[in-house]
Amino acid sequence: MALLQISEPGMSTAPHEHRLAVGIDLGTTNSLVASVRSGVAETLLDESGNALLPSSVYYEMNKTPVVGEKALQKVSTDPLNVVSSIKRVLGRSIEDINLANEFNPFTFASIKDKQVPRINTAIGPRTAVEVSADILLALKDRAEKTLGGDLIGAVITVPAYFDDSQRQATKDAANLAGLNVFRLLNEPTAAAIAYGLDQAAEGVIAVYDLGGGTFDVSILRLRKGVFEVMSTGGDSALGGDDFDQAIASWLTDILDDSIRGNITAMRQVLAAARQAKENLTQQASTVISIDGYDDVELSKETFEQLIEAKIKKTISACRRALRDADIDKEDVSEVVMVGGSTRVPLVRKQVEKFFDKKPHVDIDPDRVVAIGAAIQADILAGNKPGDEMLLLDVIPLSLGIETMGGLVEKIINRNTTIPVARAQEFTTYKDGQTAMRVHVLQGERELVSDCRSLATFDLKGLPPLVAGAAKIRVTFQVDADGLLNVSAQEVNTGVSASIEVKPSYGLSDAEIESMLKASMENAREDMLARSLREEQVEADRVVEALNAALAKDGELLLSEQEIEAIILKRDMLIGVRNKTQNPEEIKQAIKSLEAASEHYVARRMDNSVRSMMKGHKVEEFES
Amino acid sequence: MIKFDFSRNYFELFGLEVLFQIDDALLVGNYQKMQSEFHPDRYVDGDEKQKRMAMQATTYINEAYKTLRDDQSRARYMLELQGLHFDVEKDTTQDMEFLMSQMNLREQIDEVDSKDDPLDCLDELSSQSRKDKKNLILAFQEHYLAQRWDEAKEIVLKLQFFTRLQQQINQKQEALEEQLM
Repeated sequence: MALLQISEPGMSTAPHEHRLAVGIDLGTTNSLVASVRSGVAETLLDESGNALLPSSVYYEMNKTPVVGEKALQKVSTDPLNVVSSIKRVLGRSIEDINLANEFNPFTFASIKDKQVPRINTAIGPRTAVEVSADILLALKDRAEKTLGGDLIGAVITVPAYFDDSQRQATKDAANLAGLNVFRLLNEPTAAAIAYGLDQAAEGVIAVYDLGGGTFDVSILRLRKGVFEVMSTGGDSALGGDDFDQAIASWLTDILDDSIRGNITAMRQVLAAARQAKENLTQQASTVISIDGYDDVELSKETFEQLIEAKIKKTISACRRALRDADIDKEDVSEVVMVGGSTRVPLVRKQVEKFFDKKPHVDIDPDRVVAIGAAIQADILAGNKPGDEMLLLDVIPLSLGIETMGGLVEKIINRNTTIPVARAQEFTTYKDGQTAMRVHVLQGERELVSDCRSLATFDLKGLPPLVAGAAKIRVTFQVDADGLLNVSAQEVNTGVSASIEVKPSYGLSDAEIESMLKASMENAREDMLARSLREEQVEADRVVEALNAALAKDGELLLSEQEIEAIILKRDMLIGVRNKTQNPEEIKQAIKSLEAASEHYVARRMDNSVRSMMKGHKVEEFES
Repeated sequence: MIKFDFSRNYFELFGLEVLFQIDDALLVGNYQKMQSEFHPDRYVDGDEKQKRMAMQATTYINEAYKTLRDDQSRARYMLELQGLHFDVEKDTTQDMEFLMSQMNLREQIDEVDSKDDPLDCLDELSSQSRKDKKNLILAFQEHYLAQRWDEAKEIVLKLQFFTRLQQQINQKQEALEEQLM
């Protein structure tokens, strides 16, 4: 054992204790990785000194994928094998993508209905999860080289407006890249952490985050080291790329519509549009040149007209976020700007006008998210035991199930603090109905067709009763990452079914399995958790039934001591149910209660038979 | 090992007396203190059992906090602690006069589109509904202290209408603002 440990300048002062953890900003256009070193959060650089890793991957037959700048260099020679902007399709179905009607710089392999979209590459069709994993792997390698050791975990940021399937896909990609995900963190929250801790602010913070492909706004309250997300809103398909698209579409109208069919030419048009946008942050007008066409001049005024509607959409989302947080514009003490697209002058102007406050722009808007994520990762890794900072996050979109008539019944409303569990009871609508389909949806609208379908499962084996007699309790549990688990149970019989929500168009379980080789240990844990839940619900049912019976005829049929004995067992069951993690213990407690009340059940039956003899109808004895 | 007592009711959890008027600062302060102790982020390195416990404890804390924060859900919970049951399907107020006035308010919301200044009309409706709600809450407190449970329950059922009314006003506001854009 070494007596002295010598650490290099810039390394942690106690390398044997410091646990390596990183924050990763997996962006549409660029990705970054950051870490806290010697108490300072900083983005990690590649060999050439760049922090930004272009989120582009180049695929070549029999070679490992190339990520970043080197991949982009292949665009001119082999455009079809360079995959960019993958975040736009991560966790989305082919219908979603077609609906968005945007230009994607790659082509999809032909797929059957409801299958995961796969992108054509030289090494075969690749899913968005796999492409994202390639990018994450590159960032992981960079971090492990720079930090000199294995990472124990990572915080990965996602747009707050990402829905369940997009979050799940992000997590799958990270696992595939061999990263242990501490937490998925909403990007705007990460940005607020980066600012909040530096300035030790207390108050209400609005974070306006306009990235390449996504827009988020979040309202946060910082109080005594607790960040509370009050509300969040935005659009997962709106960003700076739309500005490029707007210019590109304006340009092709002027030049020649047929250019749209030519992928290579469209790439050039999009690149020129992007350059024009960047030029217009400093200049009043710019000239766009496309090979084979006349130069076109674009003035700042025209550009601002082209993008004005998009910016208005973001302001509208800000207004809604304020309302959800139940605060006024005046209550907002700080406005933080995040994302490269907030460099566009009109964006800054409109945001300043709306909040009537100069927004913060002092941290590089491209790096601020990764830096915040690194700070959070450092805390979660336990490197700052004295640090009391805690982050309370919310779910960005309401969750519900389909009810009669194609309507959505919300079970958990958007902006509810997570983790959260909520149950609601439903019933059958046909006489003798023995099965029920549970359709899980996400969104704010009332009609099923306007919401996003997350999953469907069947609850079978219901007792055939008259319509409205069965009681089906549907429980939603959302964990701290914002991922959902749904279970349904018929209250009287205990018939149950549950599902861990995977997007219905996402990766199939078999695919995930083959990709991740999920360990048997995890599966066992899940089963244990499931049977624990089942036993807990069963315990509740037994207790409830017993209470109802006691209230009805307990004193009539039992002596005081007998009641006491039963209640003792009942309370023991309640105690066990609330404390134990072992389903078997609950099962035993239920059995023991059932044994103790056996004579009571017998007397009840006798009693009801006797009453029937007196000429009553059975119905009267049903509770 | 995480120690969390799930048998405490929501008021006990936050060290509050079972009263409608609650000490907001104490509620918020204790909520944050408990979150700091039990949140799953404190156990990212823990075993599965700890993680599960942390999630269950925080879920309970969040539910308790949300219930107590809102006037209607707090009032309802107070009655549930007294052994009263609420059946979503069957329980509703029978007060015809009240129902009529609610219907009237809703119609007014629907009709604001035809007004010159729809947003102002909504603001007015909103403040009217807040005033009505305040009066109901005062009545609830009286009934509760006098242990007139049925009357108190009747008020909780009425309060539900105001929650929905406010939602409807908000939705209308959003729709109007979108149109104005």
